[in-house]
Order: sequence, then structure tokens, then C-alpha cells
Amino acid sequence: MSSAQAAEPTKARRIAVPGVAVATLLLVWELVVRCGVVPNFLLPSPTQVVAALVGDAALLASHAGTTLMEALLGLAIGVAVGFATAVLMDRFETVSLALDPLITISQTIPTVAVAPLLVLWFGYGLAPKVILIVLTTFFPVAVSLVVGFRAVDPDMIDLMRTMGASDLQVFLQVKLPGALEHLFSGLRISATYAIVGAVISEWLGGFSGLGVYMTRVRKSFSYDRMFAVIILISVLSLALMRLVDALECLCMPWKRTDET
Amino acid sequence: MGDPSTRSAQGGREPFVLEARDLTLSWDGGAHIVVRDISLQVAVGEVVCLVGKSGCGKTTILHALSGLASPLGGRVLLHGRDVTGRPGHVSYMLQKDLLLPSKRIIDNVCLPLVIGGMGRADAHAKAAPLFERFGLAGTERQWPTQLSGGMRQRAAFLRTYLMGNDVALLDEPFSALDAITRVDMRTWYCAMARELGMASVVITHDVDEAVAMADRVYVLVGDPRAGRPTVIAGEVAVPRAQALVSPAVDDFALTPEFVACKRQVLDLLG
Repeated sequence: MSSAQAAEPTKARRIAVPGVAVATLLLVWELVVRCGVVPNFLLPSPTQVVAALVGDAALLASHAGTTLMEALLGLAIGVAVGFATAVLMDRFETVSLALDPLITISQTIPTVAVAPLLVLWFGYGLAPKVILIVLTTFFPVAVSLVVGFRAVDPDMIDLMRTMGASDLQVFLQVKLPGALEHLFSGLRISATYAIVGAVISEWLGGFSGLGVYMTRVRKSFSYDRMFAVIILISVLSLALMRLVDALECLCMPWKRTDET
Repeated sequence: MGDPSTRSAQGGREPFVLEARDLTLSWDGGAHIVVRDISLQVAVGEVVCLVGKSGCGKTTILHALSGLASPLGGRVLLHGRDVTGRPGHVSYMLQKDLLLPSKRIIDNVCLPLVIGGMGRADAHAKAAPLFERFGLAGTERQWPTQLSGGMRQRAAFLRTYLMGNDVALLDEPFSALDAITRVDMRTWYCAMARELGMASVVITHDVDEAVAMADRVYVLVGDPRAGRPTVIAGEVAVPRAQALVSPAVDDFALTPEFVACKRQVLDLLG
């Protein structure tokens, strides 16, 4: 924030304005609790939440590790399944017609309703958790990719054919790079679903993970720890989204044209 | 696999690069005839324009010439060889530059070489020396979004050239450009095409553009949507002295010969 360039004040404002808003909110929250407007056992103050976060750091880290591992594994499989589904739907009209309603219907089934069934069928281990995450993450990837594949200019495909390109070459050179932007917008949604999906599946049973920890502290009415874990889940989701952004930046260098 | 400019020299027994014989075309497999019994020829290095109103089936004719579409009747001959309905023999360029945003300019222009099986390094080595000649020096590592419309069209033309065929089909190639760039680009194109010995079939609805660019103009008339299939109403040869090259294409538009040709084309269009 040194010498004034044309774009700099806007960037500073972009950081400062929401920063002040968040700080104000936290201050009001702290005061409301300190002054006893809301009983402290129902709502912990921000400083108490931070204290809980710091105090339980080691324990939280080990639970977060479990959750993150489940989320990443489920996300990876979900993306792979979503990718394969999208390619098949794009390649074969029959597959597309057959799967379109099934995929849409599958998304209307609430995750919390399916999770207990998965626990019944697959036990308290890793399997039901990963399956639940796969079910929730594959959809945004598949749908956004199918849209991306269909958005390719048919004239470009004609041009490729006049060059004698095979279907595989059309896919690799035109369709896949063209659909990347769609893929990443789907992936960004899937990434947040993955963390939330992992936590929900842990609520219903398991031995470690942020969902398991959350259930325990809820039962012991430790609301400061509840809040701490909620913040941690948000931070993990945000971190995963930023990871997707970084990956997008890496995979689509043509989006960064201003740096040359 | 020779260089197009050397291959065009072997006209010999067969004077036409590309020839269409009695093409009849349809949009929907026969129920609706768009173009009936069209015959046209393109000689080595010649620029031929097809001019006609919007919706008369000009693009359909190019699709048939390129092999992307199969005609109901008739044949397409390339150097006397039947290539009807088989793509991959004729270069194609559209109004849209269709550069892939995900590839640098050098990779975009090398696309036909890479598709043809050439390694990326070899393709780059072949394309790199051409950048200067096509007015693209320094753009090799840039992304398409960093280039102006005219430059993008030059890159599209270099890609077309690297398709390695001695005839190119151009579908209203300059109509997306602003008026001044358009005149510059068609002047440049005519000069480059003649220099490279590349024959061209250009479709346009702009009579001025047709007369300014072409050695011969085919005039298409018909209204397929109203049940009148398009036919060739006539052919106008443009008396352009062989000496008239790049800078003079513009000056030509101010001569009485140009006006006379334009008159003939307009009369045929009706």
C-alpha cells in the first residue's frame, strides 16, 4: 500500500472494507456476550472460541487429518467417476438420455437421509464415508463437464475434421481444454461438498474425524469447542477451494494473460 | 508431402486444382434441395469468389467442397481425383478465426501438423520461420486473446496454409473485422495467396469484396427456403493485370474496369 497506482486503491478497499465489517461483527458479538445480553453457556464469546481452538489444537489437528483424508479420497474418486460419466454422456447419446433423469433424481435425495443407510450397509469404517462423498461430489463435476463439452463451437469441430482429426484428437485438443473452465467451477463446488459430506458421515458413527469430535463436544455442551470446530470446517473448505483455484491457475495459463 | 507452393507448379495435364461437377446439395438428406447442378473450377493459384445473398447456400457449397458434407449428386475432384465427401484434402478458413484459447499462437498454427502426426518440436521448427512472412513475428508465445482481430485472422491463415493443401476454402473470412482492417486483410491475403501459389475459393455476400479479390466471380442466385434451389447465374472474369499485386488491389477498386465488373455481377444477382 505504498505509492498510488490506478488499481491499487480499489484493491486496498477490497481488503479493508470487508475486514472492518468482520471486525465490527466480532466486536459486537464479544460485547453482547461480555455484557450478559445472551447467557454465556448458550453463546461463547469470540475470545473463548479462539481459546478453545488453541487449547485443543493438537486434538483438532488429528481429527481434521482424518476428515481431510476422507474428503480428499472421496473427492478424487468422485471427480474420476464424474469425469468418466461426462465423457460417456458426451460420446454416446443413449448414455446421456439414460443417465440424465437418474443423475438429477439422485441429487434430490438428501445426504443426511442416505448416510444412515450407508452406515448400516458398510459399517463404521472408511467405506460409507467415502461413498457418501463420492455421491455428492461427482454430480457437480459431471454436469459442468457435460455442459462444457457441449459448449464447444461445432465450427471448430468441423475445422478439425477438415484437418483429418480423429475423434480422440478432437477430444484432446478442443473439447477437453474448452471444458476446463466448466470443470473447475464444478470442482470448486465439489470441494466444499467433500468436507461437509465427510463431517455429516462422521456424525453417524466413526472413531475419529471432525464430525465425531463435534458430536462429542455437543453432548458435553462445550459450545466454545463447537464453534471452534465449525470455524475449522469453514477454514478447511476455504483452503480446499483455494487449492482448486491454484490448480485452475496452473492448468489454464492462458487465463493469466496480463503477466505475459 | 511437398510444400504447397512447389506442388502447385505441377498443374500439367490437369489444369484445375479443384473442380465441382453438377453438385446437388440438400440440408436434410434429399427432401429439400438447396443447390442444384452447380459446376465450378478453380485453376492453380487462382482466387475464385462465390457471391450470393445470405441464406442461398454458400456455406453448404463450401461444406461439400471440403468433404464435410456429401452431395446428393455430383462429384468433387481434387487434381482430377474424386474426393467427394472425404474431408482432409482441402484447407478451410472461416469468418471466426477459431483459434483455440488454450494454445499459444505457435501451437495454434501448428495444429494441422500435430494432427497429421508430426512431433511438436518438428512442427514448431517448420512453422517458426513463417511467422515473419505472415506478419506475425513476435507473437509465437502469445495467447490468442492477446492479439487483435486482424492478427488473429493472419494466424488463422497461417494455420490454414500449414494444412498443406494447395487450395483453401474461405467462408466470409474478413467479415468479422472492422472496415479498414478488412480492406487491409483482403489485400494482404490476395498478395500472400498469389505468392504462396495457393488457390482460393472465397464466399462472400459483399459484391465489392468479391470483385476486389477475385480472378473470377461466380454469381449464385436462388432462395432455397422459398423452394427455389440456388444455381449459378453466371460467371464474371475480372480483368486484373497479372502485375497488379498487393498495394494495387485497393486502387483497382477505383477503376472503370472494377465498376464494369461490379455492374455485371449486380445484374446477374438481379
